Amino acid sequence: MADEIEVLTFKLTNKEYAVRVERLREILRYQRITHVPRAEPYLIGVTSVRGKILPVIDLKKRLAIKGEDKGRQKIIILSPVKVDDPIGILIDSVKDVIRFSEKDLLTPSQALSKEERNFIEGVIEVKGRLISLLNIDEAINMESVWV
Amino acid sequence: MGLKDISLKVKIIGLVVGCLLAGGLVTGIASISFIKSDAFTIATNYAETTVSLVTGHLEHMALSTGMPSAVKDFIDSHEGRFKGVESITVLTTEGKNIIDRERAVEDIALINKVKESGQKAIRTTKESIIFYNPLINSAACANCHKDRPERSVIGVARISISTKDAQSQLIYRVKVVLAGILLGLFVLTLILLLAFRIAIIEPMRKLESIVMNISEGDLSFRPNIQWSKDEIGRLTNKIGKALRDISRIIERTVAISNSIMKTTNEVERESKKVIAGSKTEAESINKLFQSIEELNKSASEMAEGSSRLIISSERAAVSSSKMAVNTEQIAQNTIELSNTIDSASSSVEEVSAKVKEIAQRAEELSMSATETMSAIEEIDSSVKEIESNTKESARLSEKVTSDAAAFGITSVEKTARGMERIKQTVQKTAASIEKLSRRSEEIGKILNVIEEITDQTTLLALNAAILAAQAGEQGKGFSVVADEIKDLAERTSMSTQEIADLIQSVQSDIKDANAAMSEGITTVEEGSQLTDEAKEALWKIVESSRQSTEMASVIERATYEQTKGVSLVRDAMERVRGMSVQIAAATSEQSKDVSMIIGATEKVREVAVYVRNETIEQSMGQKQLFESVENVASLLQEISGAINNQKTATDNILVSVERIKSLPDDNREIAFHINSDLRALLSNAEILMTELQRFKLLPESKGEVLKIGVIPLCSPAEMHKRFTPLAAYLSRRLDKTVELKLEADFAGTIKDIGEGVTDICYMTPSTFLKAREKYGVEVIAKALREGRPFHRSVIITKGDWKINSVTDIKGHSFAFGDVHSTSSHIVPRAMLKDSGVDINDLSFYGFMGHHDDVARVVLSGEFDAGGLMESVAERFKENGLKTIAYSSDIPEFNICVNKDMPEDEKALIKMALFNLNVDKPEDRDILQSIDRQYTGFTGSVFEDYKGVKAMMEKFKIGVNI
Repeated sequence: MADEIEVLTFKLTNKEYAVRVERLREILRYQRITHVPRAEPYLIGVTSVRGKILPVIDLKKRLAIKGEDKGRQKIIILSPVKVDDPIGILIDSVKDVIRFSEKDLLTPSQALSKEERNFIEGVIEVKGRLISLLNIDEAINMESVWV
Repeated sequence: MGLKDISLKVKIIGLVVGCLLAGGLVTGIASISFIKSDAFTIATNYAETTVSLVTGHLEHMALSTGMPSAVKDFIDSHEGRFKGVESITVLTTEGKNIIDRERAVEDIALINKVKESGQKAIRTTKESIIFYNPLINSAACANCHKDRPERSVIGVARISISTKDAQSQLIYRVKVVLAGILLGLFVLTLILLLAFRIAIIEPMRKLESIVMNISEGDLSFRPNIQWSKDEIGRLTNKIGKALRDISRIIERTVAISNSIMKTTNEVERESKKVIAGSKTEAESINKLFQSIEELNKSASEMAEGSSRLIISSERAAVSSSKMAVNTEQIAQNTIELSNTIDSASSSVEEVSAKVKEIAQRAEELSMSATETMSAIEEIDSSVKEIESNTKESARLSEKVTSDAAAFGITSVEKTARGMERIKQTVQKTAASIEKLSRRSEEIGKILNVIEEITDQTTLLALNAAILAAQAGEQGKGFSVVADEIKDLAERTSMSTQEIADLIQSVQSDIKDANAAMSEGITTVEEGSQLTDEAKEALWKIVESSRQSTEMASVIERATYEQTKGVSLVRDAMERVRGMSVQIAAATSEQSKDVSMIIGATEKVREVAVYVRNETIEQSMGQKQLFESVENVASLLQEISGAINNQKTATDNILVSVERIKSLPDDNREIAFHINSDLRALLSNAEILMTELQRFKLLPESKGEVLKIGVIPLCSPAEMHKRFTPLAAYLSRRLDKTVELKLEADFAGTIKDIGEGVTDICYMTPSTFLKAREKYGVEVIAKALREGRPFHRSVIITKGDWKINSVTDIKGHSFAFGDVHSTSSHIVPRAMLKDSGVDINDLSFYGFMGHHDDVARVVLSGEFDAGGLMESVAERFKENGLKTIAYSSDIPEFNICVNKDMPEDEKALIKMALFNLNVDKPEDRDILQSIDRQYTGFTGSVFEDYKGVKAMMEKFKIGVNI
């Protein structure tokens, strides 16, 4: 079963994205986020999770997706590879945890630029919906977060 | 006769001959001496040869014979055998002749010299050369002359060679040479003289004669172009040029002095006229003086007469005034009488009037009483009407009151009550709806909670699924549960969403109902308010109808009383009417009596009035008489004053005239002065003229200078300016000096071209014809005006003048240009004639000279009209000149040449003129400088001018120039 991938799908504005579950710690409801002065625009601030202070990134801003906030916003806590401390990303709404075969993962279009392709690992088609599987380590370049 | 008086020729000849002689002599002597020495040397050489030969023979003879006799024979035989050998002598060293020892010793000094030196010696005499040759004692000789040392001189051979022949030959030659030299000198001298004569003397003599001529006033010298260009030639040319310039100056001076003379003559004539005029003036002033004196006298007489008249009229005035006073008194008395009668009459009239007034009043009273009666009747009837109306209205209002109370109010109150009930019901409904709304809101809140919970459940399920996924195989079962939980949560979420939607729609319905309810309530409230208002209004109606009922009954009572009052008034009025009728009857009788009195007084008054009028009239007449007498007196006074004034005026005039009388004398005196000055001037001018006439002026050149004459159409300076470019052009084209000659008048221009003072001339048609008639001048070209070889004359007048056609000029003044001018005299005159205006029909006319002057005098108003060239008139148009007539075409101005001009030169000038092309800017400047409208020149012949000639003959112009 090594060729099975499990992902969490969620929405940014009205588009669906996915992230591999291996990276996830937990999903939180929206809670108070304290603004950090002189931070990058996409770094909303920090929040406290069970006594630990985590940075929270607005994924829409990070991915330069334009649109209004929709639904009950959630914070997904992730464990990036490069850094020990987990970070939160703010998304619009969570959808599902789905499982699919790795061969169903479509590679992104070659028409996209290399940098653009860096953010996307591939595209999955689920019940007629196209879901982009984010390369979360690239999407959240933690070095730039902690500058 | 000193050196100064010797002529140049003699001086030069003397000098030349002297120099030649001296030169010849020196050469001769030098050559003779050279030849002589040369000849001597040659002769000596020749003689030497002869001598050595002879000596050799001698020696030979001596050796062969050894006998002096042999020598003697030899000498005898040889003397004369050699040409030129005169004598041969053999001498011993002691000087003894060996043949004749007896002879005396000869030439011992020379022999000794020879003996010592062993060399020959030479002695020359006049006619011969004598050689002393040593005879040496050679080996052969020693046989005989043993006594003598070897190689010593034993004797001398004396040989005399005659030079006579050579000398005579030489002298001959010298003579020949000298003769040759002398001949050569003579020839040379002759040549030199000739050369001098040609190169210097002749020109000098010519110059001398020229200068002589100049000193005698003949300036007609013309330097010959063939003359050399040396100093004399140049001098001559310069003199020629200077003379030419002087000639021009003198010409101008002549012209000027001519014009001075002319002007002076004219002025003299004029001043004579002035003198004559002033004489007549003096005479007429005298006459005037006399008449004024007469006038003065008559004025004095008149003054006297008028004073007498005044006195008599004053007397008349006094008596009439007395009469007037008397009459006035009478009139006054009459007036007083009349007044008295008047006042009596007026009092009677017053009485009468009063009686009449009373009658009138009584009548009026009666009338008004009647009127009042009828009014009262009307009032009565209307009051009755009111009474019945009031009764009716009282009844009606009573009915209204009862009806309103019975039905209106009860029904209104019912409505009000209904309204109140509706309001209560609606309010209850609104309250229940409100409750419903609150309930549904509560349900919404509960739904929110449910949703929250569902969300959290989903999250939990997802987190569980994540964990299960991370757990791998072990978490698989857990994952299924989590999925189911999540599905449940989702379903819950969906149904809550549906409920929420339902509640939302219910709530919006409630909101609508609520709004409708509150609207209903406000409507009901408004209705109930309206009902209240209706009720109130109804009550007000009831009240007011009740009041009107009351009022009606009050009116009813009042009317009744009024009716009673009216009856009373009617009765009273009836009584008044009866009384007034009685009064009227009484007054009418009274009036009759008063009328009789009035008639009587009227008669009296009429009489009085008549009397008064009569007296007034009389008085008036008297007054009028007096006034007229007075008027007469004052008029007389005025007349007298006027006459007196007139007299003082005439006195003044007399004084002025007296003064004026002296003026013509003064004028005459001044004129005489002027006249004498003029005469002096004239004589000076004449002297100047005769002085100038002494100069015989250079007739204008043919060839190197081309003289252009220009007819003076306007001022000479202007003409010069206009033609300078053309002159420069011709100078360039013809490669000649071209000079413009300024002409002072037309006659001078004609004379100059005719007599060859000018070579070519710019002329008008008529001047050309005159010049042709008189001098045979030839026309070669005519100008083109805007491409046409014609121009026109115009008749002009001032813009604001009353003259509008040529016929209007009759009786007015007219200005012509020059008397010889075509376009400013001949043609305008023909135009006048053609319009029926003879020159004698003009009030006066004058010749102004230039066309410009014609325009100027017409503009200034000196002349009423004038005739001139169209182009000049155009120029003055903006100054207010009006053109009233145009002539037919006149041939344009032309270029004429003197009849003696060679054909080839004519052709050259023609070519130059025809080549002027208006399209070339430089040529256009030349043409337009002459006339703004000129566009070129074209060929012309005499036939072009025949029309003008006919016109000239018609007016007999140009017969005498």
